[in-house]
Amino acid sequence: MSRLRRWARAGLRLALVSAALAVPAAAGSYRIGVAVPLSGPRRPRGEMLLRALRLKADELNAAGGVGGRGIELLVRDDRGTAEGARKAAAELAGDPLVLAVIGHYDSEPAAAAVPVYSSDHVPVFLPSVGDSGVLAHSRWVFSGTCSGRDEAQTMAVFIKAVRLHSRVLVLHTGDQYGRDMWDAFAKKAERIGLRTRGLEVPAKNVPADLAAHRLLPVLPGIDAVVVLGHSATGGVVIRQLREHGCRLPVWGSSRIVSGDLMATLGGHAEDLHVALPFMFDVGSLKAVEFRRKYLERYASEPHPFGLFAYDGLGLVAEAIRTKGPDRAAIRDYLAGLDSPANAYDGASGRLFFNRDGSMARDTIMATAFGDGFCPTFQQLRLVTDRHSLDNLAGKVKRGEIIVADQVPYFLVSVVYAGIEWYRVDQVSVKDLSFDAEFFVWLNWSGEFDADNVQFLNEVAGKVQRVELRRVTAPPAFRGGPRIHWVSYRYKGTFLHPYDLHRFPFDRQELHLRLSHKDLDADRVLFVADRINIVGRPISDIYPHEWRDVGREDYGATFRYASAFGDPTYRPGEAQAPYSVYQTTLRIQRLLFPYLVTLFLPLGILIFVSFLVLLIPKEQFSTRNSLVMSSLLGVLVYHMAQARSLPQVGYLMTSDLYFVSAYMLLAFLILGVNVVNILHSRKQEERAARLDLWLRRGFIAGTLAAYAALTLSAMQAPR
Amino acid sequence: MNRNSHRSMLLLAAASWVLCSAPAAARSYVIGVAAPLSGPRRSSGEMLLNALRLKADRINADGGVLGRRIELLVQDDEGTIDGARQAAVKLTSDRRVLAVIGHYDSEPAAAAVPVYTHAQVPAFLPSIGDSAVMARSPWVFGGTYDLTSEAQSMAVFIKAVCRHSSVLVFHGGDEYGRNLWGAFGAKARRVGLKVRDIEFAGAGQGLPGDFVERNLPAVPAGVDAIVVFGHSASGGALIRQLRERRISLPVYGSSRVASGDIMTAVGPYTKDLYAAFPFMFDLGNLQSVEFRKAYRDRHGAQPSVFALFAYDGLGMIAEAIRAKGPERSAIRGYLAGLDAPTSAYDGASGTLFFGKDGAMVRDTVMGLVMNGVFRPCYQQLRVVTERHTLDNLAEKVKLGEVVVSDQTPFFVIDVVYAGIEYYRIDQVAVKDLSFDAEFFLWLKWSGDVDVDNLQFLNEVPGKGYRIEMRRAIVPDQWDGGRDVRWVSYRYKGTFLHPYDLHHFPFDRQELPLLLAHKNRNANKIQLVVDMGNIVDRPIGDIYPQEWRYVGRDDFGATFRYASAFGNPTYRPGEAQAPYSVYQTTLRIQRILFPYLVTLFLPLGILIFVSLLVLLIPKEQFSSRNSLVMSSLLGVLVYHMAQARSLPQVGYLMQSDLYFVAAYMLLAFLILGVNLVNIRHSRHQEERAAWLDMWLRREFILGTLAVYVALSVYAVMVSR
Repeated sequence: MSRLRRWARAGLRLALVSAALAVPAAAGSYRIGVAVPLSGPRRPRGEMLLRALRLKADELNAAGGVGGRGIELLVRDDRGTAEGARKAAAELAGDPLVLAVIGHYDSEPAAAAVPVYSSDHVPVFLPSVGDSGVLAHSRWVFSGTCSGRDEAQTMAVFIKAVRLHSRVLVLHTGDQYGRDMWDAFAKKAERIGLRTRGLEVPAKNVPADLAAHRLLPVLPGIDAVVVLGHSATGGVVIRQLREHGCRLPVWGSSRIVSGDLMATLGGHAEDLHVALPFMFDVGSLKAVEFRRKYLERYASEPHPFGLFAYDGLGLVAEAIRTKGPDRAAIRDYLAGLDSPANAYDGASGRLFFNRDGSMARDTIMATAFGDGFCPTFQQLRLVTDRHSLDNLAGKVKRGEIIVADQVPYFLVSVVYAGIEWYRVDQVSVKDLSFDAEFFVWLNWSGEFDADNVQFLNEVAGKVQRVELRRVTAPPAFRGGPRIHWVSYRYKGTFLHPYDLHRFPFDRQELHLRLSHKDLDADRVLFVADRINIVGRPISDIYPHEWRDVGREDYGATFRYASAFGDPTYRPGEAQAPYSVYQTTLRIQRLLFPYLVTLFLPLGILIFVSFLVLLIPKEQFSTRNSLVMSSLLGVLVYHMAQARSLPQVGYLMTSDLYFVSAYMLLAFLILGVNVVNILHSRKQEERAARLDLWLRRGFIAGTLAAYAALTLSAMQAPR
Repeated sequence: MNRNSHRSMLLLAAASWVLCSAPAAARSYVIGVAAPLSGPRRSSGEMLLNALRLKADRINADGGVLGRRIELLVQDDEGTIDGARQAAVKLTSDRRVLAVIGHYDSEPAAAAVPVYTHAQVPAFLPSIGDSAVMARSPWVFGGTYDLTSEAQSMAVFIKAVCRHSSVLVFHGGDEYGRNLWGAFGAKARRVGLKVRDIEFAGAGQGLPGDFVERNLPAVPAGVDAIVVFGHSASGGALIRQLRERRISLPVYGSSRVASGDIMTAVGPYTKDLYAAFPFMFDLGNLQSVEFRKAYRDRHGAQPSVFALFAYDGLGMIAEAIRAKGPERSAIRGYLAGLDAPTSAYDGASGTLFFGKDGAMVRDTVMGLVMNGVFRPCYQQLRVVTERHTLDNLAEKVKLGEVVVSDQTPFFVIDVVYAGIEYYRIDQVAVKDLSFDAEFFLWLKWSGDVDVDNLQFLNEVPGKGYRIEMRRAIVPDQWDGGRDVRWVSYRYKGTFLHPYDLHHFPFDRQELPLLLAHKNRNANKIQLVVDMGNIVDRPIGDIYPQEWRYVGRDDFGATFRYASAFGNPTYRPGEAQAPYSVYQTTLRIQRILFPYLVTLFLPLGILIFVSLLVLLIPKEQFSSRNSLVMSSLLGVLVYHMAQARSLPQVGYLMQSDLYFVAAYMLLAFLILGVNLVNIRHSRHQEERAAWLDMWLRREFILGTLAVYVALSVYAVMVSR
């Protein structure tokens, strides 16, 4: 009873101490306001933003916070309405501890909240709103996405310079958004020699006879149709065009993708292309990492705006770190990100803002395929690096760069890549490598040097590939590009640093990293060909101590930590990214043989040492030799077992089992000797008591130690 | 009685040590050093002295000269004429002083030279090459070249390498400026370079702000370069005025223009600014790299080239004593005998010999300002001295490897800047004596250079491959009228490395990558570190994960193979052509933590268990014996198992010492236990008890002392 009380008292004391430590930590955190729709029809979008922000906040706090202090999110529901947004903004701006605000999903609530933040001098980051009308040229407002005008201009350049259309029909909605987009598109088109015919369509309630009466008569002589509007309008208009036999390519602005576009189109998605501010398929490794974490934590796919919000919190945290926890300082930091040279290295790219506060982003062109959109085979990327600008003429001559309206763009080839594993011939943990056989295929359009792709982690000279098929497919739609396809059978040895912290309870991830030998991501972008990857489980993994537990595929860009001695490089400048397609095979070690070959012998050795406690204490010599033999057995066994593994700079779980055995046996030897001393001094009673205690203590200790170890090994995240 | 005898033994040992060491000090060879250790030139003087002490310590550590130590007798010459004269008198009057090294500036040196000549003491002046200062004294030797030879080399370089045809020469109005102009003008005429001159401010005089405006209203037609012979302050001001008046012609300055704070004087106008130097560490040999590293480690500062010359000076004098004996005239005779490449001294600053006037014969190195510092130009000239080349001169000239100017043949050396940035270390294979690495390599050069045949000297054949990543012409850079090119590669390979495991597992390793040309020697290609572009980023990926990144070192240097490759014209003693190498060294440290658990913990438990033997009553001999024998056996098995993961080496590793100590301690324990048992079986209970008690105390103390000492030593050495 009294023991119970003592434990309770100790527990209470511990809880009080922990609480005392926790309170100042929470009080000392930096507060960031979040205003998102958490009720009403836009709730799922708001929750998605909030989840992304929580992910980033948790990452920052786990990494020690900002300047030693945590990040705390103060969340308000703006209900997705103008009134709700205004109220949420007033609440957040009125809290002097709120350093900045991130949120407001749609344009209308954002537009209502912006004056509140501007008058209260609170920096605000709008992850999904880039309209200059909403940003209202406020010094305190920054956007996570590109402006609609930039998007419209890039679409014009792409249609003219890449797809070589010369005359387009532009359907734009009659609202502010549609008119702004049309204005930007038309002006750019005029400067680059693309002839346009504009036609205003209603933003809501599109007439059923719109295509028949107003659109079809103007289609003769037109190469393509451009739709600048929202998903409801865009989907209906495109469907009407298709139903009336129009087979022209259709180009839509990013807003037509939101909502249930595919359902509206009803199977009429062929030759439909859209402009997007971001696609995970062509994102950086950080974006892949974000997506993976989001998926693991929330079991759903994040939207790019979730990523933009995640980056927004990163930007604000960096602002606090470099300029201090002050609203004006944070605003100044964000305003200072005004060119590629001083951009923030975010998960969604190298981030900096335009003069109007919108983010400068390259527009990604995507083509409808199946139920979604995939990156188009050619992409445009603004040239910002000095090396390319210095050598512009040569690059234009070689077709690497095109210049439209005096703006240079990289012409990036998108290559779809896929791998199907055939067999893993050898998982060589000791050699830090694995041997694998698999099929690789590549799909691309235009010129691409497919023979010079290689695996970044292949062991030089230990890779062999055989070309299986090479085909050029006709265009999927009229005027579309011809698609080249090549497939190889590959066999080789690949480097892999195994993480053995949890051996033998470990799971490994075997990577294959495909990249071009020398072309960077301004020339070629690898995208995972998800549609054609079947991802069948592999049964042939040798040695037979592993089983396939899944795979993951992605294409991503990354930067080498080197400027390759580039003489024009200046410290701090970002180098050109490279693109990689990575497939990861996740394998789990079969534990059963280890139960027999590792744990059983160790268990028997320890069990045998238990027997010492059954031997009468008078037979000291027998006791001593038995326990010493056990110790030597454990030692030899540990050495033999370690020989099959590489030398690592950390303790493996198996090491912990052996270390526990050493400690327990040393303790037992000590105990046995002390009992013997007492016995030889004729202190029989004390010797008997100690012997008994030793019996209980050693057995209980051993069981407790190994149960704890095993439970922790089994429960640790896999 | 016992204590007394111990004391007398100690006294005897101490006395004999004193007696032995005193004559050793008395029998050292004394070399005088006269340097400015006070006044404005103090830092220069201290640098000379630091370099000389470094050399003296090295000679003494190697056993001295003919078994005797080198001792430096230092005098402060205050950097003044009077101070120099007094210092020279003091040093020469000490009969023990065999030779003198020192005097930083020309004026104090000129004042001291007559003293040395009169007293017939050989003197080595590391930073002086003026024939006027050395006054043709047979007792005085200069560590640097005669400045007129610098001017002549510049004329040849400007004409033959940079292909200029007409130059405008600004020279100071003092003796230095006029001497250089005289030598340059005469050589220029002989090599077909048109020259005209303008005289400007000499040493210590200021340059009028409108000097260029008044004296050079317009650049004369046909002039395609400017040469400046002067001092850094006035020369720098002149160059700045030229640039400010938008005269963008390349400017070539003498070594004194480049000395001092030239970068401040010229301001931002460093483009196309060249200068001549008697030596540059970038193009030095391995010995000079070694010197620089040792100097930096000891003094935390970069040495100047004159410090290196002083270091070589002491080396030459030590060699003179070794070869000719400890006598002033013999030393002079040895130095005077170094009068041709075939009888040169192999120093850290090159193959050293003297001209007729006593100045050192050195090749002039041409430097160009890159990123605010002078770095070697992409082409260099080197006087041809080796017989093999001289015998095949016509062919070499035809191949473009040698140019002949004014009847003097010169090698035209292409300087290739190289840099490496590590990407990943895939495998530190200690047992295989190799490592697998992936990294980026880049090269920069001018003109036609066979860079494709550069290879790593320590690469395992067939286990290295490279992929070209980028190739470009560097904008805004040219050298000698030629574009500078840049290529970068991604490299993957296996490289040999003999790991030093003396301190295992407390060890630090240095993984080197040695880049050199397959067959071209340093008379054709020299590799230089591209320091401006190498970023020292720590590498996170070093596998297996038992290592962490500590740092890196980069240097370019020349070296000689210990072979004449069967050259039929080779004569014993002749120096072979050097080869050039760029070396980057990655320093990694073994992570000790896992060894604490997997090596030291089991060993500790075995020793701890053996200690328990002392708790077992002495009557239970069998238990005692079997326990300690089991421990010994355990240590033995453990040692064998642990050694299998390492290569066989011809020395004891730190880990071996731990095991050896365990063997010794356990053997001692077994012996003790057995002795106790013998006493006990002979019924000498009291003595047995006393011995058992002593054993308990001494064994525990001994074990603790041995392992603490071993660990402290290991940790200290590993730092």
